[in-house]
Amino acid sequence: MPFRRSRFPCPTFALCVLLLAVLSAGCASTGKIQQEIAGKMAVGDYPAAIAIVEEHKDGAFDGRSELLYFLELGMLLQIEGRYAESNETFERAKRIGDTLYTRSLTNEGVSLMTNDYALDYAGENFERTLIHLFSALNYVLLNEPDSALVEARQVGEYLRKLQVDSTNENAYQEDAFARYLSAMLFESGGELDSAFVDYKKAATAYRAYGTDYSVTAPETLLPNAGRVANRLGAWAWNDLRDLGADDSVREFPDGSGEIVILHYNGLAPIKGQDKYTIPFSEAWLLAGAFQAAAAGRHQNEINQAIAVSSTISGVDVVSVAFPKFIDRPYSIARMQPTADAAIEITRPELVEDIGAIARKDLADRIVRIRTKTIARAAVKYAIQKGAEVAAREAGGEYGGLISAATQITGNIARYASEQADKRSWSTLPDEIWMSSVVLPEGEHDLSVDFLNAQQVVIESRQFPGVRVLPGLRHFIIVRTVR
Amino acid sequence: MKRDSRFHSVVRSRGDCRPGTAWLRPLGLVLLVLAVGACASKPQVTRTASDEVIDVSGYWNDSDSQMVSAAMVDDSLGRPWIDDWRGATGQKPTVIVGSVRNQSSEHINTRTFTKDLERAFVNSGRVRLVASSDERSGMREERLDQLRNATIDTAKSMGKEIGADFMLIGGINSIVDAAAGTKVRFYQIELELINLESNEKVWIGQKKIKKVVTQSRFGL
Repeated sequence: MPFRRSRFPCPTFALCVLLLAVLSAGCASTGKIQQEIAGKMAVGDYPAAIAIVEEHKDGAFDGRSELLYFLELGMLLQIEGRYAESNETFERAKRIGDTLYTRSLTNEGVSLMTNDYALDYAGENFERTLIHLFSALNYVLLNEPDSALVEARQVGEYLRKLQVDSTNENAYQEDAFARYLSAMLFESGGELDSAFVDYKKAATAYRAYGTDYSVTAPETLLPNAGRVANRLGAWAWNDLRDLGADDSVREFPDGSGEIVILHYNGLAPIKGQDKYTIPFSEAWLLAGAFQAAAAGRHQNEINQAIAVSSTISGVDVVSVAFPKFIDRPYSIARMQPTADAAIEITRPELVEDIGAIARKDLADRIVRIRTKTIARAAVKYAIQKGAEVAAREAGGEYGGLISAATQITGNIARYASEQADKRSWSTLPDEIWMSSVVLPEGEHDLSVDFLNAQQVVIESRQFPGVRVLPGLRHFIIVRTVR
Repeated sequence: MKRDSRFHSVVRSRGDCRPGTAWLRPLGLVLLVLAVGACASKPQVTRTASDEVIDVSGYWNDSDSQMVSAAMVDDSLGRPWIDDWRGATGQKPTVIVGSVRNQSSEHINTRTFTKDLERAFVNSGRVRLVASSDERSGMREERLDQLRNATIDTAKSMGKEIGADFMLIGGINSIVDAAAGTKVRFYQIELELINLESNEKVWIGQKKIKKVVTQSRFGL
């Protein structure tokens, strides 16, 4: 019997693929941890939620998911009132996000044979924007207004980069609430020109928000901009009228100050997956279906996927997994602040629908993701078939048996490794609501009720002794998850 | 013989590998290397001179801070405001460092170069420097404490502080332009010395730094 051990390298390759598949499947465990974190948040146990994140720093949140560690931790630290630590954490997240602008061709190649967990998680564009927004609020709450303005400038730079980046095809290229918040911060810092520019950008952006996310411009936006326009002059009013402003202005009485309450409500939807097992012969037909539905900008990617998958006419099945967002229900619908001495309390308004932005962001990319998924399935299938043939030849009289074993191994590997990339910033609120309370100088007791959709109060929180200084704006963040 | 035969077998087997699958072997090895390549490596530390210019990310760094302070010190001590003051009053000018606002889009610690400037003022022997408002409050607390707890001959009395003649204020501004993988970062740092009595600006220092930062979209 001839010695045939030398022919093993090719079947070994199947084992390599299996190894990668197992490794990449192991990478996908952030979802379970994020569910645990959400459970702790639901009962208001934020220290425990932080402990869970810390516990998995060198595990699920390490390596290619390192950014998620800093995002989740930064968010939780803010809610816990540990603003300085939150900012240190967000600063690390920003640097990682910047570094990951350079995409690793090696990782891209590996992802084409395993799944997208082989890629570093660089954060969605809207997540990158929100880092600056939350950091700015941290600095405001730390009473470091200059540093808050640094964040406002950074978010402006980031959004401008999104807009001039020709490779960015997503609808999300502007953030209305980030602009609105920046405008308020610039106004508080006495930079009226910058404030006015951002008020105008916010007004323009909220028009698109109406179409894309069903979020209308807050009623306070243009009257707030009017207050700045009054100080800048007639030219500014001409600009505002072009944006649809009437003559209403929100001027605060002498000796009064403003408390802006931001309500982070619910938990943003989390990514899940739809996994299909279909005959391979149908895979390229599926890619063809995407072609019919997709805009012209994706044609090249789809054509490549069809070219790869249509070269295989096997009858074997193939697994494909596509990401989707899964809503996480919550019962609180809105807040209602009260304060005895209030001069004005504006109606709470939805200023940022993060869940809607996330869903639209994924929808904008889903064609690209699906075509890549099918192309990946074709590559993995081809690799497996090559390994089976090699095993049959190497195995001599046992070739059929070894080939069958390779096939089973390959099938398991292909199925196990096929996972949609379900990574996302899970501690984000689903919505951000805003209300403005104008109060005379002094210390005031503030109360915030949280109502469900039936307008029944299901929770109340008290903020005793809130200090109001004349002409100044303060922020309070309230977080609800239930 | 058997060993030779086996070795020969290995070589031959490579030649026998089917043309359609031969490429899989190196690919498999590459994948295996990649799979285990994620193992952690030890950090490497290299000591270097503190004034060596090392740009890593393109953001404001220690080199920028040192360049700014060096330029500002040279400029401020070389200008006529010191001699003018001495000529008019017969005394050294007394300076206090006020706020240097960070109006850039980066979190920059302005204290690093204001401290360099303070050090240069004091060490030059031509300027007197008094503590800033933050520092003063601590000194006053200490004096109050001395009045309560120290002996009469060693306790320092209140009301003997030196009032500054000039205040140093300033700011850092930045402009960033970015597209694709290229960023242009422009910093303009301005410091001003203002006569506290007359509001006259006796010195304005300015330093500009421009950096082009490129980052490849793809790498290995």
